[in-house]
Amino acid sequence: MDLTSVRPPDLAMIDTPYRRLASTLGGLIRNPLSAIGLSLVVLFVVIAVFAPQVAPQDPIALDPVHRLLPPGIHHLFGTDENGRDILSRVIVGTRLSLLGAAGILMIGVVIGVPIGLLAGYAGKWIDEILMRVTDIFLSFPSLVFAIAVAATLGPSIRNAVIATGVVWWPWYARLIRGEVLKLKHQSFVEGAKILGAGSLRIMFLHILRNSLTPLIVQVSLDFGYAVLTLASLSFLGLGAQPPTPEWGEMISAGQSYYLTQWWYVTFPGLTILVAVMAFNLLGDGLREVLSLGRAR
Amino acid sequence: MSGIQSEPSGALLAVRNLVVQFSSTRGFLVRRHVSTVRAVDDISFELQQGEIICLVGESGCGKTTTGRAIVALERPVSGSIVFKGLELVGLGARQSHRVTRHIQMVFQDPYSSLNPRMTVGASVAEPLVIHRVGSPEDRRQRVGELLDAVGLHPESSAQLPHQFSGGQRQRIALARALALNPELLILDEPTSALDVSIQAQILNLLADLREKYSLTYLFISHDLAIVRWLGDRVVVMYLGRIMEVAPSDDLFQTPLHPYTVALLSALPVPDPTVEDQRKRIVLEGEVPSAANIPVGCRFAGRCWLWRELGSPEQCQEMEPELSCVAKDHLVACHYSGEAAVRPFGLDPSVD
Amino acid sequence: MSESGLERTTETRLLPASNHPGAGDGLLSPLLSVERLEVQFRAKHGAVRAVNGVTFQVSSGEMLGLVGESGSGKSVTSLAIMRLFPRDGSVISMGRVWFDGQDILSIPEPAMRRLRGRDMAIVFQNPMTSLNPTMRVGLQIAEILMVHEGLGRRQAFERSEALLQMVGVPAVHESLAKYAHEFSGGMQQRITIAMALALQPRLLIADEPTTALDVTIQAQVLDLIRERAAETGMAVVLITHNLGVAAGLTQRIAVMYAGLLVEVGETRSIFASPRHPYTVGLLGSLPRADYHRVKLTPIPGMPPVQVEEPKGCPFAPRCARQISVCSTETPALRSMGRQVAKPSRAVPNTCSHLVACHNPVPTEETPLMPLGSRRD
Repeated sequence: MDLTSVRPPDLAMIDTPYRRLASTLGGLIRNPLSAIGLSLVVLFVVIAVFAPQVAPQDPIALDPVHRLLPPGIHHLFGTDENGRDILSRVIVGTRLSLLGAAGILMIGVVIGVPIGLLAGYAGKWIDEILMRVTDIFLSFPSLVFAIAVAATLGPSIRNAVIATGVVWWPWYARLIRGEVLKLKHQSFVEGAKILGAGSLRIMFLHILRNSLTPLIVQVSLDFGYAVLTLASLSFLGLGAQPPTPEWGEMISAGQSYYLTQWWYVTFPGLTILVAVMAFNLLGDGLREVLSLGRAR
Repeated sequence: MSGIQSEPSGALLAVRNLVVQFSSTRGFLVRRHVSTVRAVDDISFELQQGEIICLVGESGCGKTTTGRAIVALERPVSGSIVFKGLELVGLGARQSHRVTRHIQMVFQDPYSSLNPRMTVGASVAEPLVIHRVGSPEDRRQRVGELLDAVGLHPESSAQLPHQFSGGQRQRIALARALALNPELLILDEPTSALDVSIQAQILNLLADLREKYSLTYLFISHDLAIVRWLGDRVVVMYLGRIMEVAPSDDLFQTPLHPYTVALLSALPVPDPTVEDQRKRIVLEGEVPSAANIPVGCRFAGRCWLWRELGSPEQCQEMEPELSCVAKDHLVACHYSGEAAVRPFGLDPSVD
Repeated sequence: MSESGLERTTETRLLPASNHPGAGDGLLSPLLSVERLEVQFRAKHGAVRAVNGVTFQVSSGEMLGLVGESGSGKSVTSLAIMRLFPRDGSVISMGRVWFDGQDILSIPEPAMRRLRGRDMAIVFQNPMTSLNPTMRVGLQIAEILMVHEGLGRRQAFERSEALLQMVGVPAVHESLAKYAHEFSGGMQQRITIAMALALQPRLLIADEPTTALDVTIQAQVLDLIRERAAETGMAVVLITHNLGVAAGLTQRIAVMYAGLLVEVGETRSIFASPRHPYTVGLLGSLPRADYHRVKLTPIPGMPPVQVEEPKGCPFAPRCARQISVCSTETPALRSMGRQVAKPSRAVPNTCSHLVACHNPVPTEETPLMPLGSRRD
């Protein structure tokens, strides 16, 4: 026998989840753009987690004496019409924005992934029905739908998240269904069928596990968009309600001052811009690194 | 084999009048029928315990579909597949689960036959996990044995498939297929994606494994040289039908169907001396579409013999039955005697 | 290597690299002469080697088989000959490729483009790589003729029709108006051959032209190439992994392994008495349809994943005949002398059998393949 054909495995080559994570991070850092994205995202997350500690002043307490101060040493981003420190409000608002966006995506994934998985795997009429339902949801303008939900359930950040999540999932359903259709006829999936593996085992262990990469990339790209959507809803008064600090809500409150007190809308707006950009850069970087890893 | 209709003859697997059809439909709620393709059109053959039977033919002849139907990856329209006296067609999920232990399949493409996210060890152990065989410790030991049996280092089990070459992946796929001690292996062109020198390693391995585990193979291939080397018996298919069945040496020395003759004649032989002496029958035209199978003998349109015989009408009117013309030698041709002239120059020499 | 002058007219030689065409002895030059060709791909971490110094020649009217397994560098060699690499410096080709007295690697791009269109043509394994899916087949062929020969539209279409007829495409007139995807794989390959032959090239490179086709269709396409070559006297370099195809079609065979040419010789000589252990192993790995053999004798191990810088023989790790010098010194091609007494096909009779091996397999030890004579 030709045992010579096989060398004992090189231990350094053995893949572990830890090594894979390390190599993904390494790949992200090597590209300057995704490195910027990654560090900004990390910064946002840290700020969100430690918001109360990081914020220099109370974001809610009124201080009419210092209202509408321009940026200065005491108030880096200036103050609003109630004398609240805009920097502190932006910092505390980070937590709400990120949590809200995460909620939207979570709802989207939790609904969308099983539907896509089932539609793609079962095929036939189940696929037809599920995909038509998906199309119906897709044809709803998400903002209009969210307005309708907020109007019926009452405006709150929770309702805004639910309303957005409910129109968000079709994208993930479609993505996962596409992946399933690609993987379904791969030999390893058919091989598992021949072995007598159950449908759940095949769907989750063999198919979903191999569709995670595009899902992760899509979710990270969408994160910024979810932040933006949530801010829009708050801007329209359908999300966070005053005095809760929230980026969109701050811009909304500041719009009557933007000609005279430019800092009021500028800093929350810039923050949204940077956050969206950071998640997009990270998502693009992830796509590159993970798809390269796949090709290898 | 002579009596295809005969009752269970102790064959390990008996395929009878198998028909597999693919129809494409369009539309939601009201489904419109677009086309039907008969990939496998009424074929019958048997496998004896311990033999290697080869299904050969060109692409689209239905050889792979036949293999897939046996492992229930395709649902036959009609016909029966009997494994050790048990009818497989229309079997309930639970029972087919029990049977599938004994029939395993190895696929053509080594790059898609292993889950890229599962370690080699997990892939090889998966059949044991699904069928709840042994404790985790037993399984680990069994995986080691299996990897060793296919010529891989047992420590490879911690690695992921992308770290292996095509030949090594086929070895892993074999180890996985052998995990449950199956009796029948369906090998769907397992070496066609490999380089010659690696292909030879895998072919030798297949021969060794068959001895060691007394396996029965259904080997699906388009490569006649491999078929000659490996096969005990050969089934030649064309456009969903069996054209000829014969023991390997008989088929290569005295092919009786004009299609087999043409196939052998077209096969390049790695020997310039032989190549220079051969006369080739180059078939005209191409395989007709399976959606539009010609009436009568489906090979007649391309048949060199038919033309030589002055285009007899019989061939275009009546489909020839697969009938026994010599010991263990079945041919579906109205003029099978005439094809045996062997003008193709494959000099038979049995070592 | 030096016989009577008259016979040299159709000579094919495989000389040391220093004897570039037309040098010194006044021999008639071969059509294509590849000398110490090296190809490297520039990658993130240094350069990746694909071809490590390949030398061979092809004369007009000759068919040379370039045989090797995947990763041996045979296809890269053909791309280098056609200079079909991106011109952004990501691929470095070194050495010389003489075509009809010009060094292809150094002529300017416009001249090369002319040469590529008119004098050299290539057919790939996948016909769809050379066919435009959105363009009718007739126009694709006619366009070549209009651009290169300056033919008018009508004339060009008439010639296209004749070309399709020549390669055996049925219902020619209707076929001109069809798109590539409406044809089967075999027909597509015929069409690409028609396109390649449109300008009557003097050199045709066929890179695995039949690998994607069924045997009966393969036989048709090979017949077509053989017939066209015989009729026009063009030289053909047939790149293949299939030794059977090479055996049936070529006059000479060059075997490649890991970017190096390991054995070159007359086809009969290569099959009857292979001298390089790799060639012997390759032939021993082949199951054959024409007789029953008990055991295959495969080459142990795997080909190297990546071509290394030449340091020792790349085949040494898999070689049973390895000696100490093999790991330190890369063997050069050496003549083994002629081994077949009477050439079977129109082979230039000064062709010698060259092997790059420190410890070649002795002639009497290579009966792995039965000689043709042995079976009569």
